[in-house]
Amino acid sequence: MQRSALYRLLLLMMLSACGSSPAQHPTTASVAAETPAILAAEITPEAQTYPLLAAYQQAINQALTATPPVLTLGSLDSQQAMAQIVALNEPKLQGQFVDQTGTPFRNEVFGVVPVRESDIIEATAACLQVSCYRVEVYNFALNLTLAITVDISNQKVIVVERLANSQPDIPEHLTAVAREIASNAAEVEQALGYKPTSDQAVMANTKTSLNATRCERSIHLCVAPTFVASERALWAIVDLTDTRLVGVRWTNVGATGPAVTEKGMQNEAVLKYCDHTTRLERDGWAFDYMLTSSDGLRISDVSYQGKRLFKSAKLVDWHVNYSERDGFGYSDAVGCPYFSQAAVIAVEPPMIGEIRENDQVVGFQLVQEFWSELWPEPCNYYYEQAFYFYFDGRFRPAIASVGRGCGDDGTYRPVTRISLAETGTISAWDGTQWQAWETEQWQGADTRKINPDGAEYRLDLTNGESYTIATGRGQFDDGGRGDQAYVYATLDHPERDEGESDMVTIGPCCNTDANQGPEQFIDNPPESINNQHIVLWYVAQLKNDDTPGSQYCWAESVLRRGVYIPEEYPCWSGPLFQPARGQ
Amino acid sequence: MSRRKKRPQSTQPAAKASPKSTKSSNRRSLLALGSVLAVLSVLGLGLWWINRSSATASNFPVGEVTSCKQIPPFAQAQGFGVNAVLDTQARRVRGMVMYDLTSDGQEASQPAPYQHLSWSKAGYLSSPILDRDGAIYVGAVPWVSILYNPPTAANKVYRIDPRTAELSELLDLPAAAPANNTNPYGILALNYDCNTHSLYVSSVLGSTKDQQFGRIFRVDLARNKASIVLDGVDSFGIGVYNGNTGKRLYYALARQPQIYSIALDNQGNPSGQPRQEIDFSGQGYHGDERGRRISFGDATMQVRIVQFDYTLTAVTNPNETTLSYRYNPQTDSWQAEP
Repeated sequence: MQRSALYRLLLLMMLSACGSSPAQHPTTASVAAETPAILAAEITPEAQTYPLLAAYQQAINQALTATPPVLTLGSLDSQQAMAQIVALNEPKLQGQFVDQTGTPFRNEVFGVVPVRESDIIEATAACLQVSCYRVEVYNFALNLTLAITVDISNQKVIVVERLANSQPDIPEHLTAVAREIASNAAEVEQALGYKPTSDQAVMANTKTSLNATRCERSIHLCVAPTFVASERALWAIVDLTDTRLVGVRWTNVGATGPAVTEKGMQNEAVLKYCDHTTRLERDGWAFDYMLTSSDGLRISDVSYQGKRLFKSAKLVDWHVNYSERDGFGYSDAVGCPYFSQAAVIAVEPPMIGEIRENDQVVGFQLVQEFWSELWPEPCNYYYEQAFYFYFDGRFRPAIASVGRGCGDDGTYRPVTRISLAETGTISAWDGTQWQAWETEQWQGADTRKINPDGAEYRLDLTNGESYTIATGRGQFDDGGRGDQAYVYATLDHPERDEGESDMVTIGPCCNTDANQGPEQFIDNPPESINNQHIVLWYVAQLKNDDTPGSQYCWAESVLRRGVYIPEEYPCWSGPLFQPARGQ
Repeated sequence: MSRRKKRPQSTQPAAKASPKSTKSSNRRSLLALGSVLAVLSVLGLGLWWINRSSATASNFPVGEVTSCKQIPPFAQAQGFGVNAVLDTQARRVRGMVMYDLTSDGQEASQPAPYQHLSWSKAGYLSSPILDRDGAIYVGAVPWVSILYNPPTAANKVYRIDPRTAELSELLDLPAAAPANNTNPYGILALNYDCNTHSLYVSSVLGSTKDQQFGRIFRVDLARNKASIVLDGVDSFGIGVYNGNTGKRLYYALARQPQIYSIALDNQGNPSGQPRQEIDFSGQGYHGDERGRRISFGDATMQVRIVQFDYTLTAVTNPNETTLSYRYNPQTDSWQAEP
């Protein structure tokens, strides 16, 4: 809470006005990266064979079962060794090395250094008379440093400083591990054009935070081994918490510019998908995709086997409301990490992968994730958006929340907009037959009927293609428990732009009925949508659950091998479009 | 170690940001979802004696320039005292709310929190600024989304009448470029100069990733007329200080971790060319922060720095850092304080 003083009233000087013209701020041109950052693969199985890394992992495992659970520093002289023993055996410190349940954090002694006279503060004034050492213990789980000042003359701890978000200089063996990871990384070899030796990495012990280079999103301990090649330097950011390469990026030697950081690398890798569309043609499917300012990942100009299907499909909004307090919630837009209206942002590029059913590859998926920086802490969010493209023509726009949100009483309502490329008619199953929707309307789950094929709606396009549409009812084997979705069909009005371009927040967070935004495009009176260009809107309703054993739309932090990792309980939603058989 | 569960076999590299995981009990404020700018403006807290022993080249006393601000009469009429705060962020209310603080800094129940009916009509609001009459000035800032803060209103300055508490539009500042969907912001910050009864406003309306269309305005509050102080610069926090060589407007860049200043004449209009004052690269939580608020004290400057990416990114913990600087009258410059 900020306070400012009530200042004494000044005697104002009455001055005559004079005209002026605006000044111009000096231009500050930013130099674009010659070659953008390359993010590394998250899992590199070959890393298990790196000798230094393997030895380090083994040492970590041993330390986690030790008492106290701290990886100690070797190659110390007798006084340093004494300081380390005294510090780590201080009874009052034992609780710092474990969580409330006694589960050990990953702790490591990074340094044992004599306390110089210039380092002495009031709390350590005794060190003017006796020999003192400072023992620096880094906690990987909490990203904090315990700076323990030890009087080795009397073998006692004088003072302990708990320095949050602080990372000491790393020891030699970790420097070597960082160099090993970097020099063996395929991304480094690819960037340099040759496989470097470990010795060619300079500045490996330059802590990123000291060099204005950080892993600011993961909040992990990172270093940046750097490979100099003539006038350029390749920065390889290594995450020593996860012991993996984050990514690589070239800089010009001696050039000043924005720091090379994890976040900077990620943004650079993502932004190209914000600036222009990417075309993908695969397995009979063809479409463009790009990241939007506030409508998530958008696919457009979608066709299957040469026949146009969708003009576009995207995730317009997330409406999140908490029933604990009336009207409490958020309308979250998702999109680009920089210069966008997104509240929850993309931190890595879209991913393309296979879809498997019964161990068979049946299609491919395009996946985009959106994160709050501190997820899964409370009031931080993680949303997933996926488009599933099947070899047999099926298509599913799928969306998930992975929590954690601001409470255990939240309902998520993602708003998906799907614009048809061809004119057509939508029909709903009335229990006995398909009944065409003549005019714009919406329908909730309570009045829907399911036809024998498991679909509730049918699209008949004028190009001869027909699709059934099944809403999510928990049948998709993805952990989804049913969408309870509202489905809206409105007339596409390109001249009005009812959402084809990037949409602003379309509705309030906390309506619990069908008033989620799309209803505003149903005219009064409703317009005909028979054999017209139709826009479909799909709003799932996903209630979160934090009950142990049945978590849903939820995430928790759990301590594993001394560091916190998230446990994810996504709630997937979304309709399935399936080529229809017969009439 | 991967924190991921079964994922598709990616054909593109993907570096996942493993989250920081703590047992933090921080909860996102309803209004501060996407904001790193929790705003609480305390109406008053005692006195601060300005050193009048020296005068600037422009004959204004050396020092800060907001000490004339007054508590609005309507606040006193509602029973609020010098500990009352004007809150545009921390509490779950759209717009602004006023409440008193207890001695330990908590929200007091008496007098009851107050919100005039008009205070929510402009959507979410910037940090409020008081003037010598107790009038309050705010801009509309889309901290959460643009649902209640349409871009068309992003350059509007609102005034809250010191007697009636009514919020009304004061000015719609002219933009250099129309709003666009990649930049939800317009006005970012306001500050006041008692000497010239001027309100300074920074706006980034219309700016894009590739081009700065931001402006800093001076609003002559005697005439309710706006003029452009600086054109073509995206700036965030702003503030005026009377130094040894005269009055200067300090402004933090919205795209670089730097603070610039420009000389002001006796009417508060710009004179001369901007100069760089401070570079705080590498400082703060991310090391690439922006100065969101500049405030001056007795030969001191405090700069609150935060992450700012021209998004509505939801940040539970804004990780704001405060940097302190001391004025050196010999060099008319600012030195970092430890």
